[in-house]
Amino acid sequence: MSRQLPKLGVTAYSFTPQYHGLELSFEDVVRRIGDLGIGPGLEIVGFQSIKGFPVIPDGFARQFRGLVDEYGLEPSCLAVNADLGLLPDRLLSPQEMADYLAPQVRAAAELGFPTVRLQKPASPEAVELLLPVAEKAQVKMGFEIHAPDSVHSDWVMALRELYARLDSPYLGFIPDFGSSTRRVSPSVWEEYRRRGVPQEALDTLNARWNEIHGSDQRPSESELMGEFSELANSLGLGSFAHPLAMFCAGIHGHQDPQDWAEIGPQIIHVHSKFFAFDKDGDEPAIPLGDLLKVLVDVGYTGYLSSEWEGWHWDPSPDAAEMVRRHHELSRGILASL
Amino acid sequence: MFPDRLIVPEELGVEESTAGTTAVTFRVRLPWYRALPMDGLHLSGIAFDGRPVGPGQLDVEIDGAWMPYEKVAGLRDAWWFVLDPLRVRIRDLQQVAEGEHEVTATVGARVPYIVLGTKALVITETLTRALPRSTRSAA
Repeated sequence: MSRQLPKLGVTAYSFTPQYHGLELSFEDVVRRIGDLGIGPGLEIVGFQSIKGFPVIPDGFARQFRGLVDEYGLEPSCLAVNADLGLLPDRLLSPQEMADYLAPQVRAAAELGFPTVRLQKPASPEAVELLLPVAEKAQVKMGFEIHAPDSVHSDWVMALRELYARLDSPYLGFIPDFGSSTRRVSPSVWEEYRRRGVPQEALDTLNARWNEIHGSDQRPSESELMGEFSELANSLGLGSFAHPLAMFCAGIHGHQDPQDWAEIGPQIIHVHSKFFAFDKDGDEPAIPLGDLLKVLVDVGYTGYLSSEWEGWHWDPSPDAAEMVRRHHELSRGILASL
Repeated sequence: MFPDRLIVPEELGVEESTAGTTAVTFRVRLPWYRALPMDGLHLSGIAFDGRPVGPGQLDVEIDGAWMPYEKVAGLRDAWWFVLDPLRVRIRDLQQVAEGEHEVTATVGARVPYIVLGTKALVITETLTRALPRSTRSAA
């Protein structure tokens, strides 16, 4: 008997350039996904796709479910936001955070999503307070582990302890493959070379990233951002300094792919992050073969939500075509495992 | 994010008052991918034809009504949705001639889920764009 494999899917976030650019409406995005067969998993970001979220406008749920049924799509995950800095003058308390997230979890149930994506600012205390809401709504809550964080980051370790204590099937993790890159996407350097940044400056940033990657150093997010900002500014990169520092520090992580196995049973959804392809159709920054092997080996059978984020530096490619190529790559790897 | 889209490329609206002053209106886009709290709206570095405009000269259109920009920070439960351009008005200008006028704006917002230390990140983008004066004028 063949073993069960993860399922493919996509997040509507991949279409951000065309959606923000008013070229595609939310309905257009879903139809494009359906027409091109780049589901079946469909993830959306509540605060991106639904005006008034977490209040679901009259008729939206019916229309959404109709679209999903029409194309045979499967709601995979609703990305919710832990807006810790919602108020201008102070941060939300854990109870306020739980109260803020509760309607977002209920919105997921209303729209037929089995899972919500939580973010780091939702503390363990808030999640414990929120758990009864998720259990009642029968919606799983997964914390996204995103670059530069890893399964060993302090806040993730705190959650792993909480999960061990609470032992609830409604708590889990969502790996973002950007945490486990093997190099900064060459497409970043190509784009900024095109914009006129000297090769020597790009090489300096790249060398520092590679140096960290090859060492045992695992600086925190703020340390990484501080270091790359300082380095980029010292290279005289002007307005390019901040984005380049962010791409080096905040999007390309250093975690060993194998480390995802440590949380294998708690993986409830995956952001299969990608940026660009080389001439052979491979993703040079993401070790997709290694990552999918780890997931298959731990028995993960949930969705791989293809998340194209190369648009941050080059929004010109067609998102649907990028996701289609990523599915082709993913399908080939899965078939070989 | 998407700095080239920051100022919507369309005609500059013109409002001429009986008191002899002129206001111009234009629309700006949220430079982020999801809705953000309106009270975190950040407008700075506004200039009209190269001349700086103070925050006290600015209004923004919230739910179809003009509000002084300086009062927006006091709003609660108001959101700037990602697809909705925000109309901005610069008041108390001298006569605005026919033809193109250069508008410069830095537009930003508080990103409440990215907290650095005890403060949420404020993102900004800046753009200068030449907009043609509308041939229609509203008093």
